[in-house]
Amino acid sequence: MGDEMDSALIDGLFPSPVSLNTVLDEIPRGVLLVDIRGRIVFMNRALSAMTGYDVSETRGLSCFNIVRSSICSGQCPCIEEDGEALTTASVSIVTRQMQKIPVRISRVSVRNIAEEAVGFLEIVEDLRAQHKTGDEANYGWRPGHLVGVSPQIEKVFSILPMVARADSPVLITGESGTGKDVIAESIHLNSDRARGPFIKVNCAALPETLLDAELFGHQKGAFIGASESKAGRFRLANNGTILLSEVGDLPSGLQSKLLAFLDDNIVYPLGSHQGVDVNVRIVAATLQPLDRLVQQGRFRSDLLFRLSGIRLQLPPLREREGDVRLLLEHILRLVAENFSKTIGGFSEKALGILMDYHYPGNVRELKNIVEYAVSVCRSDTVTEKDLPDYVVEGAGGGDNGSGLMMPVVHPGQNSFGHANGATWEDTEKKMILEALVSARGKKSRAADVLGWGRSTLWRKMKKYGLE
Amino acid sequence: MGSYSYPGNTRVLVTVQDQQVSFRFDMTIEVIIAEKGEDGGILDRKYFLLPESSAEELCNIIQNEKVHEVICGGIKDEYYQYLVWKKVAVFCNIIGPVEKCLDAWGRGVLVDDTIFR
Repeated sequence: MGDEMDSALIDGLFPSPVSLNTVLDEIPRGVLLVDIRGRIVFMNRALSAMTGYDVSETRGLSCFNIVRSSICSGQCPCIEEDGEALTTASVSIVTRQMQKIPVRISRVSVRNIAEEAVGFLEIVEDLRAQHKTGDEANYGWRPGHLVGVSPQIEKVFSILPMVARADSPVLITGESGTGKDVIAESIHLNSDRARGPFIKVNCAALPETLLDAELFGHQKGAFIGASESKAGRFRLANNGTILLSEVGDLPSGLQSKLLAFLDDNIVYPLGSHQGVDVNVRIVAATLQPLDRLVQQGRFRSDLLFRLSGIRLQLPPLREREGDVRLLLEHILRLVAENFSKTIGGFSEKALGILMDYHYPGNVRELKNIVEYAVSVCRSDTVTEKDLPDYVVEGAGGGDNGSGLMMPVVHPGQNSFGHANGATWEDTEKKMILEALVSARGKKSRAADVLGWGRSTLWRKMKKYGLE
Repeated sequence: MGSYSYPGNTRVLVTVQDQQVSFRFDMTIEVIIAEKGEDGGILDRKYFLLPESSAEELCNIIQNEKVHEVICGGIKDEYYQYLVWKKVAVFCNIIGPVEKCLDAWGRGVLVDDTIFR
C-alpha cells in the first residue's frame, strides 16, 4: 500500500504528472486519507508532526489508533453508512508525545468515478493558537499558561509578543523547572507560525547518529535498520517552529550540521546528497552556561551567535517576588480540580512554610509539592502535615545554611546555580548526591526533591557515573 | 482482584476496546487486570467495566488494585506523570490486540510505542 501511495500521481492537470504525496505534504493542515474501513492510506507531513507518527508506520492501521480524537469512540463519522455531507467537529486528540491538542476535524467521503464511496478524506486543524481558556483573564495568565506578576517575570512576558513576531532564532536559558519549554511554546503560539507545527526535540535524549536521523531524517537504506525513508523533525516542523531543548548537549558533529542548516535552510537527510528547503524557526533552550561551554571548546561560538538572535534568561522562582503565592493558589486550584477534591486553600502555617521554601527545582518543584499535598490532604485546607517532610524541614533553611536537606542556591552563586569557581558539573553532581542522601537513596524521591523527572535524574546519574 | 497469590507476582492493567488496546487512556471503559508469576506466565486475569470513561477513576482502580504496570494507547502527560509518581510503570502508545500485548508483557519484551499488526 505504501508503494502505491508513494507513486500516486495527479495526471491531466499540469503539463506533466505531479506526485500527490508531495502536494499533500505541502498543505499546512493535517490531511488524512483512510479507506472505507477506516484504515490509514496516507497522512501528510503536517499531521505526522501533529500526531508524532510517521506515515510509514501508520499505513493500514485504524485511524483512531493514530488520530485518537474524542469522537473516535462511538461517534466516529467514518463508520456512518452515508457519508454525503461534510462533517466537522471540534474535538481533542492525544499525541504520541502525550499532549492533548484541541483540533477541528472536517471529513468528507471520497468516491470513485462510479460514485461509490471508497474512503474518506479528513482535514485536521490545530486549534491551539485560537484556544484560550477563561483562566487567561485571571491571575496574570498569558497564552501558553504563563503565570506571574513579579517584575522579573513581567520583564520576560512584556517582550514575548515582540519576540514572537520577530521570527529570529531564540535562545532561552534558565535553571531546570523555570519554564523554558512553556515560554518556547508561547512564542510559537503568538507568532505568525502559530498555525504551523511546533516540534520539540530533546538533544540530550539520543546518541549522535540517532539524533542526526531524528533531526534531519534519513534515506531508506542509509544505515542498518533504515527500512523506510524518514522525514526528520526539521522537515516535520516546516512552516512552524522547532524547539531544541538541552541544546548544550548537542554533539559537536551535529553542531556543525545545525550551523550549516542555519546558513542555508536546507536539510540533507542521512544517506542523501539532495537537500530539501525547509522554513523553520529555531528556538533553543538550555540550563547550561553556553558561554562557558564555548570557552571550554565544547560548544561552537559561531553556533551560539547564530542561535542567540534573541536571548531570554528566565529568572529562578526564588527571585520572582510575589509569584510563589500566586502560583501556589493557581496550581492548587488546578490540581484539586484534577483530583476531584474540594480544597479551598492553605492553612496559615502551611502557607508560611511554602512561602519560606527556596524551590531549587523552581516552578516544576512547586507543582510537585502541591500535587503531593493535594493527594494526601483529607480536609478542605492543606495544612503543614500535608506537605512533604523535606519542604517543612528545608523551609527558611537558606538563611542559616545549616541542616539543609535540599540543594539550595545561596547569594553569591551565579544565575545557573553554581558557586563561584566551581563548574556546573560539580555543582549538579553535588546537588544530585545531596538529594539522594536526603531521599535515603530512593531515586524517585530524589527526583522529586530536585524537581526533575525520574528519567532526567537517571540520565544525569549515568552522566556523572553515580549509578 | 484481592491479594496477590504470591508476593513476587506482577500485576498489570490493560486498557481495552474491542479486544484491542484502547486508543486513549481517558476514554477507556473496559480494562483487564492480569497477574504474572516470576516465570512470566499469566496466572490470573479479571475484567472490569467502568460505568463511564474517566482517567481519574482508572487511576483509582490502578492504586486500589495494587497494579504495578499499565499498558495503554495514548495517554495525557498529566496522567502518565501521576502514575509514574505513584511508582506505576506505564507502557504507552501500544497499538494492537490485547492478547499479543499480554504475551509480550509476560515475556518481558514489551516496550513503549510497540505496534502489533
